[in-house]
Amino acid sequence: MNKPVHDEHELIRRFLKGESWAFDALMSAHEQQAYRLALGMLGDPDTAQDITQEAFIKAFRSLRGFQFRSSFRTWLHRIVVNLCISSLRKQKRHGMLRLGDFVHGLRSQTGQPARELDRKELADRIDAAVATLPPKQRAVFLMRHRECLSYSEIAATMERSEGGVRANYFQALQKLKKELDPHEDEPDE
Amino acid sequence: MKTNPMNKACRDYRGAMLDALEDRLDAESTVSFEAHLADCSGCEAEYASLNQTLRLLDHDVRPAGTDTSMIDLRRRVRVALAEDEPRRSLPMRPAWGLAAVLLLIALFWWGGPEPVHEGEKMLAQVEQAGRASLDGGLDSSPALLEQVLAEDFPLDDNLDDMIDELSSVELEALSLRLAALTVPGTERDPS
Repeated sequence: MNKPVHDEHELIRRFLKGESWAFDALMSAHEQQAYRLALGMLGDPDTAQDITQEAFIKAFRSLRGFQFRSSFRTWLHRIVVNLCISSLRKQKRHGMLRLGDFVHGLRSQTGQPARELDRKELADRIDAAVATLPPKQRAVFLMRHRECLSYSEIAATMERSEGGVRANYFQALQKLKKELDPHEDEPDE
Repeated sequence: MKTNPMNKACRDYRGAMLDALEDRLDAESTVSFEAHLADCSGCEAEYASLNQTLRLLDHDVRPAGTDTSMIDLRRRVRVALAEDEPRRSLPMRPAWGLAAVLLLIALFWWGGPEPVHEGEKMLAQVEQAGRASLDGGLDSSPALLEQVLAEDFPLDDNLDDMIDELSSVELEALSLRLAALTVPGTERDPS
């Protein structure tokens, strides 16, 4: 676990010395994951691409102030998440998000058990469910479930305690269960 | 099996439920957790449904960014970072540098009716007395320049000392004029 971090710090030092190959190495190591995180947060490929670009530019521009106490990935993901949350707030202010309607629409269109849906429909439905999570909870879920990051790394990214992140992830799973279970709307008891 | 409302034990086991779902409980905790599930239908149902949700979510395979989009992303980041690099100062740019030299030469040449520096007199003498094409400037025919200078400006020191007194602009102008100087009858035979 420490070895890659050490190598990554070496890459950063090389980048700061102006060695352009280090730029490519850092980009190729993180671009897919950063993009997937942004896409999961925002749902729109074009916006996700723009946010990923902005995050990398911000990260590289401020590398001279990098303290080498965390990993580049943690730092980059923090920027991605913050940019996504900011973007979501802007969209919300402009009335572009009607996630509840979207989810309701998907449910009324399908009206059948999830196992009968094809992959595309299932993916759409999961996306819609994930989109109902509050942004920070969504970020925690995406990093844990889709990117398989450790709780400690997510905690460092979100600048929260590990216990807080675990609780956040568990709450996210419970909400997703309700969103994805067609019988969940019925009374429990 | 009891269907208890959530009590303290349930709350404690809910804390372990995430580890159980992720298969991260140690052996002892697993035995204890499973014993609780066997005794509590509420926790058992919650565990089963969360497990099902996780399995469902596992089917959600995110499309990665295409190679093309990632190449484009990298290009755009590189371009943005390149724009941060300090711009070269204007005098360093060849076109501006040449324009500045030409402007200075023009100012120097048309600067006034009377030469204000001895270097200007030297230049005039060199032009008048030139008898050869001095392609490379001073270095190619120093003897001629020395001769010209000696006629009207007797030299106590050698040519190098004389030239040292010229400003860089004067030297530039002198070099250009010498290079362009062609006097009839002294042109080089191309053969």
